[in-house]
Amino acid sequence: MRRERLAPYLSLAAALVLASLPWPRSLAPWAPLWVPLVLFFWILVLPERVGIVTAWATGLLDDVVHLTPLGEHAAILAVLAYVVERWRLEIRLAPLGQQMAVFFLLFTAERLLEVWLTAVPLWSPGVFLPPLVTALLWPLAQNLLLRLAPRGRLLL
Amino acid sequence: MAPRASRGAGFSSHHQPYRAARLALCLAASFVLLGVARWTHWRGAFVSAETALAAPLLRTWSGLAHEGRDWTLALEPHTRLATRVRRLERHLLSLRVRLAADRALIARNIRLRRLLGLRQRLGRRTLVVPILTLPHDPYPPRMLLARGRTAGLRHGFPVVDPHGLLGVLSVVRPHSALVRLLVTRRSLTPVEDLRSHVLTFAEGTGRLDRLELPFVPNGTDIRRGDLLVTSGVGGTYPSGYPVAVVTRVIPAPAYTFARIRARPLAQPLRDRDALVLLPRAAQHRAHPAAPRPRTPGSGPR
Repeated sequence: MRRERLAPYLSLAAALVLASLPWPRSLAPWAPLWVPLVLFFWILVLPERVGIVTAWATGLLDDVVHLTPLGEHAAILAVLAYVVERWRLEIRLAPLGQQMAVFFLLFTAERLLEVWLTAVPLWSPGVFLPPLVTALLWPLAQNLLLRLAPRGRLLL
Repeated sequence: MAPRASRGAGFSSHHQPYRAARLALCLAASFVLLGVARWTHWRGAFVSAETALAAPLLRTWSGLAHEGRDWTLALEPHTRLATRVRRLERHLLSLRVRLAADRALIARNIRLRRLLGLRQRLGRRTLVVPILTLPHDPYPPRMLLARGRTAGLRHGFPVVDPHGLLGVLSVVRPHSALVRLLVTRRSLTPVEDLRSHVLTFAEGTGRLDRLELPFVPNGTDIRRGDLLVTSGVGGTYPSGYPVAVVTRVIPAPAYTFARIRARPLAQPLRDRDALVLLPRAAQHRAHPAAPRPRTPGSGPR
């Protein structure tokens, strides 16, 4: 039971650690957006536990890990968490392909908000590749994370 | 199917009230944090707290990266590795051939350096400092050093590597320090064209491999291949340290200024250690901890 209660937070912590992993220069633009991926999953599956405030707090830790100004990722993730939470049922009921498409758009929105807020140049591959990679990872991530979710919570 | 559906419908409205209010609260909190960091003097404290929290993690990764630096090699295709080995072998051969001639070159180099006015630099005390994190591609270029205030580092000290200027210390904690690289977007570095002695500024673009010279009028004597060195204007950097090589000059007759691009000489992705230039002893004692006044090279990122 305790394991199930901690699962969202532990997996979010793991995502943060993965996000801080330095990727080799040539592969850096391909690094998935671990934190939003895991976060969206838990908002879909455990909305009463993981929501906008959790997203904001995670974003704050993301800022710490990336040494960006405190509150930047936090604001971005809160906005995206709002969107996912607001249309949670629609996303949950959508077929896998449509889920991936929606998540691709959301991840792209995350990157673009980041471009807007920080000094990242817009036309670097680091802006458009990560959302694609992350959206493609969604079915896999969903399968893996469902094993951590409390029993009885299914995605579809 | 039916019980799950009813359950889903049950908590959709019940468990998450005040959704917009929560979002507004989170956004407000973020903007307060960002605003405080932007417009008050607490920015340093924020960054300090962040580096203090993130340092153990970054230190671990940095250690791993140095231990098994080439874990990426396992991911590279065999053919590319083979090509690389062949290229390196050829390179090694040519290096061996050239080694014999290098003694003379070294002597000549020393004379040239003297000519370039870098003697100053030899007279300066430097501190070799390990680099903890490298610039991370999708994020603004930053570099964290593994020494800080206790090692004598202070805000505003220039940081160089053997090839060229890297940047300036922006936040100094007891045991770590953050370098603001000169390629950071909109950061200005006062430079001088070594051939024509034109004084101007180099502006960071956010890309590690490109600087721009935004304030050079059309027709100014700056050509492709010119070496840009620090001019010493403003006092943040000593004069005469190499910064960049001009790669492209695009005249823009319709505008006041030409578009000029340059390639920074420093190689932050290949460095494991950086050199921090310490001020001369007398100056250092006169202003032991006072932060330097803001210069074009040390504004907020």
